[in-house]
Amino acid sequence: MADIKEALQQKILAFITQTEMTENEKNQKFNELAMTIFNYQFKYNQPYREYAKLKRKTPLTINQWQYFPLIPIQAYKYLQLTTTNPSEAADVFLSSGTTNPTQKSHHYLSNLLVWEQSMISGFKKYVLPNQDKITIFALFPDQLENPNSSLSRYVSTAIKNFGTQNSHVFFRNNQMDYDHLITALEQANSNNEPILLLGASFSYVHLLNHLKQLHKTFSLSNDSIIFDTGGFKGKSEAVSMIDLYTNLMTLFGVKRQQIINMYGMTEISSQCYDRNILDAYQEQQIYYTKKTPHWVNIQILNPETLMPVKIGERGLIAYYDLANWDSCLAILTEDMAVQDTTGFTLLGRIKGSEAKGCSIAMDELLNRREIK
Amino acid sequence: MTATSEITINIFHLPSQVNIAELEEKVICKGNQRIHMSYPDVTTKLLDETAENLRINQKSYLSQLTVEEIISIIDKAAQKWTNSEYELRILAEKTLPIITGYDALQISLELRQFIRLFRKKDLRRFIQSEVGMFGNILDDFQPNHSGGFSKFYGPDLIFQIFSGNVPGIQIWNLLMAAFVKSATLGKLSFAEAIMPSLFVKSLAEVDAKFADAIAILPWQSGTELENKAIELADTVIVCGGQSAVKSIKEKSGPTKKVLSYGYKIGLALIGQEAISTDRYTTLIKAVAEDISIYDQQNCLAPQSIFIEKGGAVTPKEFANLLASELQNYQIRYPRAQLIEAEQTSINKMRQQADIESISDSTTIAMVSQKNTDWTIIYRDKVDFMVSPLNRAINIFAVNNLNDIGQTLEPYRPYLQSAGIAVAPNRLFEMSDVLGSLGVNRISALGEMNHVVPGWHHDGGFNLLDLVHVTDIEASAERYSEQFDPDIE
Repeated sequence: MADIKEALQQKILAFITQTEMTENEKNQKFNELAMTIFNYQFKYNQPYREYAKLKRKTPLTINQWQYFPLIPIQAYKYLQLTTTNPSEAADVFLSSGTTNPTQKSHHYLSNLLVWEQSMISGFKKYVLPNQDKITIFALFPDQLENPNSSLSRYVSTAIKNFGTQNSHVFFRNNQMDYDHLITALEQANSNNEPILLLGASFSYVHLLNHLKQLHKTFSLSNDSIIFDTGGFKGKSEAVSMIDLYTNLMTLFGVKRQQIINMYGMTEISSQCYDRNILDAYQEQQIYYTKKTPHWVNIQILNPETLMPVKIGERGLIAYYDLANWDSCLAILTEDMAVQDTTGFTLLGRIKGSEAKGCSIAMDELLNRREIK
Repeated sequence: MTATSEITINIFHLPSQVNIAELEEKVICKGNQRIHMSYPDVTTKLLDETAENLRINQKSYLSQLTVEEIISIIDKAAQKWTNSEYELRILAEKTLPIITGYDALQISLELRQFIRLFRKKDLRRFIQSEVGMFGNILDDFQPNHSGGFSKFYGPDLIFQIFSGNVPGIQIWNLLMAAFVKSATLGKLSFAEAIMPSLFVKSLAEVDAKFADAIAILPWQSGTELENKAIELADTVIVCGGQSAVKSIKEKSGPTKKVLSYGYKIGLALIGQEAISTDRYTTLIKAVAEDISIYDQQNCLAPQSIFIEKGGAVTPKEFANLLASELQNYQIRYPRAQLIEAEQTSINKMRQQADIESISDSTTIAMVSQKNTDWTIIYRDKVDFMVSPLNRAINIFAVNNLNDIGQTLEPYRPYLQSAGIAVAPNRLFEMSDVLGSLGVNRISALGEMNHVVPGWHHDGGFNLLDLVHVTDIEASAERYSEQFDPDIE
């Protein structure tokens, strides 16, 4: 078992790090590896096997990743969806449980090799294609503060692998350290040092409010990047992403093409990013849709039939992530999106389903503190 | 290619004294059919003017009519609707399927049955069961049991907030107000404003002055218009969800009378004796009908069904057969198209059941394939669950129907209709259990969506709740004799 596990991870790592492939080659390899992983999960992930059998889908009856049984994302709240013994897991990522704190998603990982490689490869390609290191100012707690949050792990991994020594986490002891952040921003400004601001979408709403009150604006160095994730998950009464980005551009003096949004979840192991920074780097026409890294695929499903829609029609995202080898490769999310030939665009969480996500947990945290 | 059919329809009614300069329009399209719904721009000024005229018309005409005369007017309007050639009925049958999404044939069948509740004989029965004395106590002082006389008075002006879930359901409340001789200022839901508008038009055809005491208008909720309408009225009746009801009660303040009809849950109970070899097929058809008529949007429809073990087919077999019947029903009377949120709720119900079935294999989701047309979640235990509606039902297999009482207890404020199939000796026993839990209507299966004249909506006295009583005590009567100038 240990050997199989080791070999499987090596295969996945090799695929993630392989960059030179034709489209056909990529598709073929993706499917081969996906089938191997599905076999593995069918064998070792007991609740997923039961679910697959319920859907009358087994490794014997399907040979294409598009037909994998999609585990509904809410199943992570009720079932131990893992190929490893939960008590031996190296880590468990918990969702923020915004609506019901007693029902949190549990994503067990027997180790973080593949998870980290996936993070690093995706980040390098879509966020930092033109530089190796950048000064990262995190507005979200890191791993020390928040050990079971996948986004906190992401923050720590980003700083460890891509951060200069000036990088810093400005969220400590349950609160945002605005004073030190502003000092650090002013310093970067005067040194003309490119920085990467990294936070949940809601972190920026609070930051912008704070800066507006102080009448502070910045003119960040050209290569600076503003990175956000989470969106507003249906809680968008107050602010839309367009407003947010317009405000960010004005207050930080960055171009639209330097703002990037990441799509990720507790339950998966790979992220998707807006393609604009990569497009600019490759000197192509700039699009603001999202691309999947080559070890991830998505399908957009009609919410009535749960069958793939035509390009241009809105639907639910089905997420196929080879890096999720340890849990479930194929997940039915509750996020709506629309695809075109350039990529996909998130349309928010589907209405009628509960709101969740670190982004909102963050907001409530800050709001509570402000009320006090 | 067929030509586009265009229909224009007014979705409001105002007293004839109120003039409207301009109308706004909402257009609903389905295929090549376009319906233009016209309505005035509602302003506080318009509400003021309307309320003023309603009060005048109520005083000068409606309050002077006897209950028998009112019944007669309504009966004549309802009789028009029993004629398949009646132009307003044709208009309703054309437009309602497009506006509501319900199947055309189903709407037509249901409307025919529903409108018959408003015939003279049915209304007289209703009045008799509700207030007695054939309603004369609403016309004049009548002798009472304590030796004096009593008369019932309705409010002069009622503000009604109608729901839009089921076609025509608003007419019932509208007529309750008319029986107690109250003028109505009604807020319609854009979701279904057609049927009340057309029926009031029929009333106007029969007696224009009667209809002059009714104003119904659609507007978007949550504006200052509600505050204005509440202020103008003596009594408020609100139909809607908990938050809508709460908000209206808050706006109305402590002194204004507010009656509310909230969202309710129905359930069905099937005793093992009813599942006999010769009867279970009819039973399954009846249950399918209760689930399918108006896609459970009616508060009367079942959301959970309890099936007792020990019948000719097991509860699980019953569920399987019901699945086939729901599929048949779907072919004959397709369910309305759903919006994303509704589709999602059904998918979530199914996913939840799938997840549950992994740790408890007795839970089974029986579902229509590749769509959300119908859903049965079967569980082999005593429990109770609400449904996301739109032909989605929970089935619980139980050892004994008497076991379900405790399970229902937490839902007490929401329980309304129960469809029941048990032997006569159990009917009263079971009804007593249900009655003590707040269930206020017990019907046969297959009839859950059809109320009878004289039913007590949400278990209340719909007319009595609206009126106040004035008693002339015996002493006043005797006393007055002293002042008869003709008698020494």
